[in-house]
Amino acid sequence: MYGKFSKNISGFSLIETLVGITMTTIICATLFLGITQAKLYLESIRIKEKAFQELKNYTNEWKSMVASGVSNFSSNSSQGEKIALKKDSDGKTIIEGSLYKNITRAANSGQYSIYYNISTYIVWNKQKLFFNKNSDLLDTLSFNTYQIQFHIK
Amino acid sequence: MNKKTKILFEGFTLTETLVNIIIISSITFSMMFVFIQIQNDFNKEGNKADMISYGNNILDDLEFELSQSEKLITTNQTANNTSLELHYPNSEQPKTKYLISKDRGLFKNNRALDIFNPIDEQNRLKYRISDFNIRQPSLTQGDIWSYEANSARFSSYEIILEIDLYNTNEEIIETLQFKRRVFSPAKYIYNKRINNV
Repeated sequence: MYGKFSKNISGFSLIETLVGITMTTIICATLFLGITQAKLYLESIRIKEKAFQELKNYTNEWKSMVASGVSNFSSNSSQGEKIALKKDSDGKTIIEGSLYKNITRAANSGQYSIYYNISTYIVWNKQKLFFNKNSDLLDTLSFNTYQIQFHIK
Repeated sequence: MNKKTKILFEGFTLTETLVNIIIISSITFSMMFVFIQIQNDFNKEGNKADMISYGNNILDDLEFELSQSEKLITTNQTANNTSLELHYPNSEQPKTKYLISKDRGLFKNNRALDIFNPIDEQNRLKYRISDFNIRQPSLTQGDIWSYEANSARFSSYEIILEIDLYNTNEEIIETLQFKRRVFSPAKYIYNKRINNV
């Protein structure tokens, strides 16, 4: 009778405790990994949003140049035009993008209605995620638009 | 039988209770710390997302109106408020009035354009517009320098908007920076007409 109760009131064994701890650790690690991964994805979306705005500004700038009659467009350097996409609290650039353009007179552009094809794009280094260790993975956005040259007398 | 009753009514020892209290306390404090951190992060991210959306919304609206208008007049400028008036080529189209208040956000024709609630439930500051400016785009190194390029710059606007985000101690934790460049064909035509006259 005593022996039976003695067995019932004994606590967890070492193995049981270790298994419990291991399971809890795995669950917690998965949870935190998921949270961190989600935060990194959110950050990469914000960087893409910033890249989109910078490319829009850049395209607007060249559209205004074409509209007002600028006709000689120097080609970009191989590095492109650098722009900061993410800065730290000290204002130091963490992620940098490069803006490129290709402006050509449109094939169907007439003698009086002159219009240009403006092709712009931005390239930046994609932020490293946990399951994406490739350091040279580039992300890009591009615009392709037309702008007529204004003639105001 | 007597032995059985003794075993069943046996409570925890002082050591067991103390160890239990210590374990429960450490787990509770750790959980509370993690929970507070997550709560602060969640609030911060919420405010940041709200302000990114707000900044983009008001700048999209300003960008659209500026691209349509031929003239921008700053009617009043103080440290906290800027009032603008946009005039359009079509004289029948009513002018658009903007008020940009650093504490209350942007108002278009006396109506708030989007939700801007800078104070939380405990009367603490969450965010504030720290800078707003509309100017002609500045000339930077590598820019084209010609009569046509200058005409393009004279017909364009650069909008700068900065919003400070605050923590619960009302300290600035981050400054969101927005910049837009807008070309206004209406302003270009207006400038040409004025120059020709």
